[in-house]
Amino acid sequence: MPYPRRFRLVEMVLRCYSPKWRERHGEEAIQLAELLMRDGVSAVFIAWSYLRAAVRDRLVTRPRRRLGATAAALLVGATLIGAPLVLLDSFTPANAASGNGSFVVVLNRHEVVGQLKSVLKAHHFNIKVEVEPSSPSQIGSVLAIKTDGGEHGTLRVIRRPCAGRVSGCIDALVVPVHFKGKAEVIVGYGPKAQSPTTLVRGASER
Amino acid sequence: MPVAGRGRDSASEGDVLRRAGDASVLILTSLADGPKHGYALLLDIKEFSGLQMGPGTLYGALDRLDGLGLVEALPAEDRRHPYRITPAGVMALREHLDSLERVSAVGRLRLGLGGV
Repeated sequence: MPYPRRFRLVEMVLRCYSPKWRERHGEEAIQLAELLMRDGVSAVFIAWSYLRAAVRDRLVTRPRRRLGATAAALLVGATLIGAPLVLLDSFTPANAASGNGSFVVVLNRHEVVGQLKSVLKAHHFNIKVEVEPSSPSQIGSVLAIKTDGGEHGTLRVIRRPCAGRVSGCIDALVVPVHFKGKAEVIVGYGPKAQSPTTLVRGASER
Repeated sequence: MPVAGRGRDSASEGDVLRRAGDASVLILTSLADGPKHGYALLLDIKEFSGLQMGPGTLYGALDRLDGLGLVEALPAEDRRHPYRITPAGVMALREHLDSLERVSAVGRLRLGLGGV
C-alpha cells in the first residue's frame, strides 16, 4: 500500500476528535504520525491508537451521554467522512468491501440491541435486530448476520481477541454506507436480559 | 500539600497516578529528566521500557496529566509542543514510585527473593 494512502487513513481518523482537541493537538498529531511511519511504525497501529483515544476523548468531553450511544455516534460520524475501511479491513477477513466508507457501530454489550436499533433506524438501514437465547459468554454479542446478498456490500463484524472467550469479542458492526439490502442481525440474550418479546417487538418497529 | 492546580490535596487523593494509568507514569518518568515533545517522549519511553506507546494513548495521557496539573505545555516549537513535568508532577511521580517500591519489596519477600 503506498505511503500517502496510509497517511490519509490517519488523517481521517484524526477527524474523529473534538474540534477542541484538533485545535490543540491536530497539527502535532499529524507530524507525529509522519515521524512514526517514517520509523516503520504501522499506519494501522497509529490510526487504531488515535481512534480509540478519540472515543475516550468524546466520552470524557460529553460525560452525560450514555457511553454506548456516544461511542456509536462517534464512530458513525467518523466513518461518514469516508474513513477507515482500510483500517477495519485489517481486523476483518480478507474479502473486505469497497473503499466507499462504512458505518462502524461500536457495540456496547450491555445495551447492544437498543443501541443497534437506534443507530440503524436513524440512518434508514433496512436492517432488523433480533435476539436469540445464547450461552452466557455470547450475551450481547452478534450471533449471526443474515443478508439478502445484495450488490451493495455485506455487513461485517470486527472481532478482537478477548480473555476467556475462545471465539473473541465482537467490537463493532460494520455497515457499508451504501448498503441498500435487507438484513437481520441476531444478538444473543440471556435470562436476565430484557425479555425476547420486548426486544423483537422493538426491532420490528422500523 | 497541593498536587494539582485545582486545589487538590495529596493527603486526600493519595497516589494520584494510581488512577491515571501506566501511560501517565511512563510519560512522567520520561519528562523527569527534562522537557520533551511527543515524538521524543515516544522514543524515550520505548527505549527505557520497551513499549511502543500509541500516539493516541500519548495525547490522551498528556491531556489527563495537564488537567491534573502534573505536566504543562511549553510554547510550540515548529508545530510541536514540548511538555515539562511540574513540581506537582514530580511529587506525584515520587509518591507513585515509592508505592511501587513498597509493593515490589513485599512481592520479592514473598517470592523468597529478598528485600529490595
